[in-house]
Amino acid sequence: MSGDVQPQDSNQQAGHGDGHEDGHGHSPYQAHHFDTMRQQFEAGKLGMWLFLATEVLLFGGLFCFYTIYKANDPELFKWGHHFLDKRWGATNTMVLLFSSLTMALAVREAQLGRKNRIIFFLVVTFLCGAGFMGIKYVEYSKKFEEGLFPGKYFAYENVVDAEEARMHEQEQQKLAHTELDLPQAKVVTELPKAQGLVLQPATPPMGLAAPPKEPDDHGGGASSSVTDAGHAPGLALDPSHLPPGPRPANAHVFFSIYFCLTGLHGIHVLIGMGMMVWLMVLASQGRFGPGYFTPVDLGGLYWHLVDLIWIYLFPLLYLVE
Amino acid sequence: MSHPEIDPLPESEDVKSGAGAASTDELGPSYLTVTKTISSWVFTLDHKRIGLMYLVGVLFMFLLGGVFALLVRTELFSPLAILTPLFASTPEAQADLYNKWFTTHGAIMVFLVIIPGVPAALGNFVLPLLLGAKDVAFPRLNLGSFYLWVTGAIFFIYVLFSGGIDTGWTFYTPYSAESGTAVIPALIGVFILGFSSIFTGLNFIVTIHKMRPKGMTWFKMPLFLWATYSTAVIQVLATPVLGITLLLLILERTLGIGIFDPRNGGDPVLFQHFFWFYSHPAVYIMIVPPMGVVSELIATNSHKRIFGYTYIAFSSVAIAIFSFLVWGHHMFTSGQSTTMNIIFSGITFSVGIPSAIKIFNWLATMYKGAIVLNTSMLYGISFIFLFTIGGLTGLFLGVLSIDMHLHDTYFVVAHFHYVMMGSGLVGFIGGLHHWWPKMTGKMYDEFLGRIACVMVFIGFNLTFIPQFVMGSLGMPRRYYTYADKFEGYHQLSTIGSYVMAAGFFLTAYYLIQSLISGKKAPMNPWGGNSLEWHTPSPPPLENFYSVPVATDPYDYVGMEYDQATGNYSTIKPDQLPARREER
Amino acid sequence: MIAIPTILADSEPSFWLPAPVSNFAGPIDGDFYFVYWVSIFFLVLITLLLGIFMWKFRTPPGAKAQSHKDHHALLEVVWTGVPIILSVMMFWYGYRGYVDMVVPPNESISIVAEAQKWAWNFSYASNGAVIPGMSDDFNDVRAQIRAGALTPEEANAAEAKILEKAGLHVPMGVPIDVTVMAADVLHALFIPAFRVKKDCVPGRTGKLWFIATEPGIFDLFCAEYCGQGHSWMHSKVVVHETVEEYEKWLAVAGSYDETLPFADNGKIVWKRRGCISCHSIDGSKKVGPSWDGMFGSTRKFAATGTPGESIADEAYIQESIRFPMKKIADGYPPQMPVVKLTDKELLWVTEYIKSLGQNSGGTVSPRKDN
Ligand code: HEA
Ligand code: HEA
Ligand code: HEC
Ligand code: CUA
Ligand SMILES: [Cu+2]
Repeated sequence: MSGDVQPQDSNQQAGHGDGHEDGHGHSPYQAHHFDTMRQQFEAGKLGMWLFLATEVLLFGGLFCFYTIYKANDPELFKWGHHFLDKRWGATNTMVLLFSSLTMALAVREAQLGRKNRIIFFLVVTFLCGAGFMGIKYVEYSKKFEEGLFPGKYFAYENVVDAEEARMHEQEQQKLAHTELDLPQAKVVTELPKAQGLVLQPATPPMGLAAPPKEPDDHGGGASSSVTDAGHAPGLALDPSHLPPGPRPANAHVFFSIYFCLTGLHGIHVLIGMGMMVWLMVLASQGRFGPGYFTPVDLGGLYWHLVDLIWIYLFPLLYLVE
Repeated sequence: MSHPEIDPLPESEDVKSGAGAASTDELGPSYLTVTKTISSWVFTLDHKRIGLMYLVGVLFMFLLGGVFALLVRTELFSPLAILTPLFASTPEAQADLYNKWFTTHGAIMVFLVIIPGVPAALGNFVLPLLLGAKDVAFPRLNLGSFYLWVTGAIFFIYVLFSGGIDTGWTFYTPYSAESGTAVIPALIGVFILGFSSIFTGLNFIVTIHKMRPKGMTWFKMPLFLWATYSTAVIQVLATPVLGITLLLLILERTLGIGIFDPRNGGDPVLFQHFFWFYSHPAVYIMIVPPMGVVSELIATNSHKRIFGYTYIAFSSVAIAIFSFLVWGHHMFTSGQSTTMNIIFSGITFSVGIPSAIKIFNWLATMYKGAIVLNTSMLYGISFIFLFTIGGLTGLFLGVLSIDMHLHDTYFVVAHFHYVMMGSGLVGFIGGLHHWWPKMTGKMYDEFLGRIACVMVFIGFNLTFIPQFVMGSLGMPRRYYTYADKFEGYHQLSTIGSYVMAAGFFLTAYYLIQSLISGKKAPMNPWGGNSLEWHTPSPPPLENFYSVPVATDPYDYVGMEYDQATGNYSTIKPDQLPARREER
Repeated sequence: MIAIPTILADSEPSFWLPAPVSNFAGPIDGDFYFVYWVSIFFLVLITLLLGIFMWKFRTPPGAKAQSHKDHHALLEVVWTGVPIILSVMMFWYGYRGYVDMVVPPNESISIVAEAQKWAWNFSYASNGAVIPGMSDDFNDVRAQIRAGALTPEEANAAEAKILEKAGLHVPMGVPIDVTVMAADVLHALFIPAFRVKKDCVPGRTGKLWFIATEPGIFDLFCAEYCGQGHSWMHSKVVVHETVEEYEKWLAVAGSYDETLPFADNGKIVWKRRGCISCHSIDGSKKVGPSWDGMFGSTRKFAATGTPGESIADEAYIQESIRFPMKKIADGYPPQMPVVKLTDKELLWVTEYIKSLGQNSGGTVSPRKDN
């Protein structure tokens, strides 16, 4: 990306900085134990790459768990991913991709030393991060409402089980009347997806939708009869969340993995946002220019990694089929 | 933290060659004396001070771990409860107490002593010196690593006070998911220590890559740097996996996420895979740096070029690479698949080859050398002997059929004490003696040093050789009481541990004494030629008075000993006899 | 007090390894001694060289090395090559020996060894009998020997008595196929004399097999750390000389004497099925609540299971045994394993608990300290 732009040795750009020069022609940002700015920059960059390697391995461990459990129990993942909303996931992917672009622009502006533009792009990146976290918040609260907690707090059965069973039954009865010759299991498997698609245009993104207490009143066609009839108050169960088939024995494991992966990633986004603020402060002090832009550069690398990890996470969790 | 400017001294030839044997205080303030406030230590960015703080911390933790070892050994003197009844009344509580003792012992020794021992404590001090650099690449990060270590240590101390932990240092699930002891603080502690280790490794890799002085190519680096470099790679690549595993274990305990605990649908063997994916490479984090130390000790004290430099250098790298591929040899009986067992057993032997290469090259270095049997050399020689035993017994365990019998017996306990304590720790103590004059500017009592080394050596073998025998006779490890037929072996072992402890206490005594009343150390008391011996003892704040030029670290021909000052100095080039005539 | 001399006077036939009494002992010991002699060779070589160099080339400070030769290609090749060859051999022997241990022959006697905290249960496929390991009884004998209360002969007799209805019994000369399982945490079945070991992993089964080659009584240990009782979770293996003898033993050992009162059989269940390791009958607290005075008392439940409280009647007790994780007695860890009792055993043990409650006279609150 921007790695090929090297800072010039500070001797050649005297005049930058604000009088901190100590007579040796050193940049004020050069630490005492480095011989040249270039050495310092390269050291910083190598350090950052190594750090990113450890991050990759940290997530790598989790991805390994994902792979192993998916290999052992593919049904679990097919079942579980129906609870994740692809639309939100895709939106978040776009948000992060865009933020990577603005981050790259911020790095470029830092190399050029254009203070206001640096800050502008950093702010945009920051806002993208915030937007991402906002969407995650919406998704998480939806899960929590439905009792889809990780591990032993998994309480889906308490909240939804009866509902789910009843709806399956209704669906099957209805289908049995209309399309008698279809094998039943198959119908059930395909159904929720089909419903989701039918509903999509008409439905506002879930979670942003009306608070859970209100009865569902959207949609039409096949699904409305399902959702409206006897929908217990307090259950904002969107039909697109109706998973196919029976609940696998270790349903909670899917959500454990989901929360671990997205949670750890979320923490990294938060750290990245904190870093953005710090960079803004540095930028507003006019620190960055052709001779010194290491922090922005390294921050950029970090942000790209966070982005990249999400790009792997999204299909692995949301697009299982 | 900006450093106060130091006056560059006139670059006298004396300082450069060390002929004046000057100690820093005659030339100007040393890093120890340049500032004196407490905050100048607590917030220091100087790698030497950080190294010294690590050293104090690590030695303290070694004492703590050693006390637990002595408790364990005393309890095992008899199959009856003899020590635990002082602290607990029912047999159940006594067994719990014993379990906490060995867990605490193992965890402290591994995570707080031997992993940070050589790299963080000694490495921090000497690595920039060996490179002729002013500091490591990221001094702030370095200080951060130290405080992470301190935080981890505090968590461990907290664990001690909140009733201890009884899972074994391996934290195997599902026991660790249900044990009623302070597992979570201990896991957090290890997690934090892991990051301390990662950042140290990262710092060293960058320092070695980017801060070598002009003229020091990779193959002109002292071997200690090759060793720390290989280790740093393992630290950076393996530790994060441990981190995530421990995090998940914490979540398993708090949320029951069902990854490791079969009751929640998890897989306990998976935990073992992830644990050993880190912890096997970690055993080479414990041994490769001490091997680097020993390369320096043997060459310097034999006053002879190190034999087979490139082979030793590459063997460190080879060990680092192979170390990632053999973790399954800890799980031969665990129920992993037969194929995996066979593959892991096969690869396990590959680590023996680079280890053998090192041992034989050290021996060849000693051949026709001028061997000065001072304390550090005695530790170096002990290392070779003990590591040979430890490594060779590792081969027994790597052989699939034999491990069916030996797994989780005292044979394994003895094996890993020979490699961790007998080699890792002995190498560390050897290095400590080697660089002590450089660190503190003081000479310790050579006579007591040798006595203590011999005591540790004898005590150590007396402690652990009987454990090999009873292990292969079938004594399982982590046993609080045992069958009567093993009593004799346990008693020998306990007696040995007391002898060893006495040796270490003697060491502590004369080292402390040297600080108070030791002779001033000359610049180069052992005749080394790597860069740290070309600056006064203790070094000044920024390590060198003038920019050092890379030397050939193993060229001892030009060294002249001065009886009066106890110092070796470099002969000026024009006075040199024809060098390396024999090559 | 000092037992070191016994090392020399010991009963084991060899210094390093216990008596070899299974088909695997021979090959494994062979592998062991191969590695052993290779190791001795290198150890002696290295030690000798160290000693000689240390002695011959030692100098006071200041002396010069006699040579500065620093490489020798042939030497490097030799000391790389020889270990490589030896390593390959070691691996090969180990591999061969191991593969033999993995696959049991078809014609074998099947036994299931189930580990729980901290007891063994051996179920015999031929008649479904469940025979306990009886660690506690062996521990008692051991303690009495140490205390001087039993002579060696009396101790042997006492052990023989216990073994009538306990331990892992196998006939000589027949392949035995052991399936290992665990009810709670990791354990490992380890029989040093047979050179076999296998981890018992909860949620999985493992296999090991062997042919015993000599009659006798041998140690059986738990070799994987499993908490408090790990070191007393041991038992004995009895090798019978003939299959007939073994079957005769099995027929008797697996049965209860149904003419006894229920509560008496309940006490046998308590010992046999390992309840004893967690439940006392004298009011003292072990891992689980004591059964003394439990019956009829009011039990409070911790929030980790279904909270609430109830009277400990028969139904409650049987539920607690069948589904231990449902209601967790307050103040105790949720550590009780599912022990699969037969219907009769369940009945007996309930009667037994009932009898203990009555003995101490009606309702006693579970634990005074909460
Ligand atoms: C510093 C730490 C350290 C080091 C360096 C080693 C080195 C080795 N270890 Fe060890 N090991 C541990 C620490 C270490 N180990 C610990 C802590 C455990 C137990 C953990 C626990 O369960 O709590 C353990 C357990 C352990 C096991 C599992 C045992 C079990 O639980 O069943 C095995 C099995 O293969 C093993 C093998 C080896 C081998 C082959 C080497 C090799 O690297 C050794 C190589 C060296 C030599 C071979 C000697 C030199 C060579 C010659 C003299 C030439 C002749 C050589 C040949 C013919 C090949 N080790
Ligand atoms: C580096 C690692 C290390 C070191 C150095 C030691 C050192 C010792 N260890 Fe330990 N040990 C382990 C790592 C280590 N151990 C591990 C990982 C386990 C497994 C735990 C588990 O199963 O979970 C274990 C388990 C273990 C057991 C088995 C317990 C069991 O399975 O039931 C035993 C039993 O004898 C034992 C004994 C000893 C003894 C006697 C020492 C002695 O060498 C100690 C001597 C040291 C002292 C007495 C301290 C003196 C120090 C000072 C005076 C400080 C100042 C010093 C100087 C300035 C030099 N250790
Ligand atoms: C590993 C230890 C362990 C073993 C073995 C064990 N238990 Fe328990 N038991 C417990 C613990 C701990 C509790 C308290 C927690 C609970 O209620 O589950 C308990 C509770 C009980 C209770 C309910 C008591 C109360 O206070 O509510 C009964 C009844 C019981 N056990 C019977 C048995 C029987 C019968 C056996 C043997 C067949 C047995 N237990 C074996 C640990 C054990
Ligand atoms: Cu069961 Cu150890
Ligand atoms: Cu290993």
